[in-house]
Amino acid sequence: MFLLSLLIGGLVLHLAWSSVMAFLLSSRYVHRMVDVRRWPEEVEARRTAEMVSMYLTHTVAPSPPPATVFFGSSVAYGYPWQEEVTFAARYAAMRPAEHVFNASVIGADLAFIDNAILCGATNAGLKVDKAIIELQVVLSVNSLARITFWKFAPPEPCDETIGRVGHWSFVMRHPLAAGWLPFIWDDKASPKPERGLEVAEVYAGYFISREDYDNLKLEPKLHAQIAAVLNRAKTIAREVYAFPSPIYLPGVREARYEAESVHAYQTAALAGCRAVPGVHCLDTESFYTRRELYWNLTHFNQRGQGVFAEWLAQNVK
Amino acid sequence: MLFNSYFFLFVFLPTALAAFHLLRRESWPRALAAVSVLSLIFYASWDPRYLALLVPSLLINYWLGEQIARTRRRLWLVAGIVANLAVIGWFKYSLFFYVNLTGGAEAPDFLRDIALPLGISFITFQKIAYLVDIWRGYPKASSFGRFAFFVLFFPQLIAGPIVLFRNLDRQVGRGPRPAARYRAMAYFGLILFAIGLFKKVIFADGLGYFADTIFAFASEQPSPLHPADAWLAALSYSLQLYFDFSAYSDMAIGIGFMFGFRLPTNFNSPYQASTMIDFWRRWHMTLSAFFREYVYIPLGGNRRGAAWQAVFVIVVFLLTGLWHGAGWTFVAWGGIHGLLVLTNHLWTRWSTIRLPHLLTWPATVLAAVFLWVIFRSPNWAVATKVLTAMTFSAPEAATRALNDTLAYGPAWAMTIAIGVMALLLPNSRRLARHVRRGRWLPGRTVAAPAHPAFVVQALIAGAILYFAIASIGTMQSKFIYFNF
Repeated sequence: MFLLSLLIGGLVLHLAWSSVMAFLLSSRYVHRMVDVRRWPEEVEARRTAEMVSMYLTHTVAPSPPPATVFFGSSVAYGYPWQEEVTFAARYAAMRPAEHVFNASVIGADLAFIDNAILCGATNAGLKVDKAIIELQVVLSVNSLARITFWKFAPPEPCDETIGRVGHWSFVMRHPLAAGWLPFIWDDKASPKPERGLEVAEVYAGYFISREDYDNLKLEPKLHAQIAAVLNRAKTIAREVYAFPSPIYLPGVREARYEAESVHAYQTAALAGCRAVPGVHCLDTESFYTRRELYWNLTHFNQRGQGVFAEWLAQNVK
Repeated sequence: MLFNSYFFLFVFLPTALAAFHLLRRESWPRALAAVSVLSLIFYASWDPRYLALLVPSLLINYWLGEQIARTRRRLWLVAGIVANLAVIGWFKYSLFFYVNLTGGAEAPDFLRDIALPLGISFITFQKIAYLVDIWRGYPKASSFGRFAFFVLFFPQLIAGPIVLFRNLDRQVGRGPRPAARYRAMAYFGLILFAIGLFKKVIFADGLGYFADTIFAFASEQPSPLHPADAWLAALSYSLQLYFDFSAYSDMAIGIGFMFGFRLPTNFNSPYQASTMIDFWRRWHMTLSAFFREYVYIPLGGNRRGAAWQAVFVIVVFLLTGLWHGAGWTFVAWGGIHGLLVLTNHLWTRWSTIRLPHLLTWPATVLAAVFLWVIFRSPNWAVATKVLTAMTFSAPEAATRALNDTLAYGPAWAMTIAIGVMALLLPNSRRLARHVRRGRWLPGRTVAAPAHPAFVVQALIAGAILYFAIASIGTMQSKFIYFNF
């Protein structure tokens, strides 16, 4: 009797708490997906795919056309800014007729974008008008060279049996209890003061040298990953736009890394994109030297978010 | 292996309970031995090398106890105390003394590489108390198995409560209890354990985020600290430490009950104390009792006049500070507490004015909060920075410590809510007793498992346990007192 009551007590609280958390999750993240890195464990591709499916099933699927979805890494997410400052939100403001959503994940490389984020969209059965894809090159080259800095598990191939995921069932299956509160509390929503570029110290080996890039024969692998991402994106969207993540190249030199090497694989990424038919590839080279637009070497400040949004609005038809 | 880890909760604890309760029906010594062996595994799970210290020290102290009891020669007692203090001195204080005695010279590698064995401060004090008690005429352990069980019993092995041999062995000596008695004790223990786990995972770890972030900011950033940040850090740490350590004690006592043993109470709502003397009667009670019984009273206590009593009080508190850590901030923390306790004694003795509770209570809590800043700070520079900001004497701060500025609202709400609980609500032991007796329901007694009160209590305990266990995730944090 005692043990049974104990179990029932736990189960009742689990049901009640999960219902509240599911409701709050679904109502708080509409235009930009929750930061999945808030998960207390390693960020797994499958779980991320479930969360992307959950987000898109709840937001994009019921939305009337035309719908535009951003898929990418931290640049597309708008790191480190609150949602209204990000270029995705500003782009949305410039295109009032489009319904714009952002399903990007901070720290995702191309393999993760393919096997977790776009995989989630495939599982949600998504068909949208436009997909705007950030091609995260630096992290992808790192991963291809088997260097990882994040708490991301190496992605497994996309599991297409996940299907549509509901908030309630997802929260019920993951009894995190207080662990859900960091999801409910969007720490990225805090307004932050604008500031210029700060070249902080980066992890050793963060930017792969030209020698390693050539010796490890990373370019064909990079092209293969880009092709996989864009081909999957084409199954989701009528029109696919893609751009290599902008980066402030003179800052790379300031951080004592080979800017030429970084430039080489950024250029290779664009070439890889152009090799995929039916994709609009946007060249971000004009942003590589504009110091005033950056918050750090690889992310825009608020001014940069605005300028990039205008540039996107001009280039995305 | 932490109490707040899934392996402990779902594998180790059930195994230990099953082994003990199955074996106690057959053979009481075997049941005790099984728990002792499992306790060694529990201790070795952090680092098996620790056993190389624990096991020989166990054997030597048992042998010393035998010698003291047999010969009644003071030499054995002195040898035992010196040997135990030498061990803790080497592992915990050698680097501190080296640096201070050499005027800050670079310490050799072998001193810097000394790893502090877990729980050494607690284990050492228990063994010293055992030897002193035998010298005083209390019975020694009747067998090595009983002595080993006293030292190793895993709920209290790492961070107390500091159990005296005579208290635990008296219960061991009674042998197995009736099954109904075990059931009642296990039920109470489970409620206490659930409350402790909840306090640790939700309150202490939740508040720890704010305290850690702000103290790290104060330590790493050259800019001054905002007064609100400093107060948030001081208050959240004061509460974190209390809920962390008292949670560990609750869990230890709760597990003790599950095995049918009563471990001593360690906390009695310290932030409800109205004087500093009262605070130390409620905070880490078993440590205070140890120092009172084995240091303060043997030194002379209050028997040698006010001047000597003052000296003894200061000595005891300096040692209390040093016990917590090999650093001058700990010594200062203990010393200032000693001065406040002394002032309290002198006021009680010589002043006829009795201050109202509404004045002394907040004053006591505030003093404790200010002193926790010194206790928590890694060095004097950080302590001064936080204290200066708390007294609004620091230059204006340009940046705030929490990057997420919207988090200040919930941070303050959480700190205030948990603070109100610590200041006004009954502590876990009272709460658990209250729940067990069903005084909040009609009928007032829990007669049988089918009694509605019993069912409702189990439902509540289940809900608390679920929430605490599910919240653990993989971010299991250590208990703060493991560092001491």
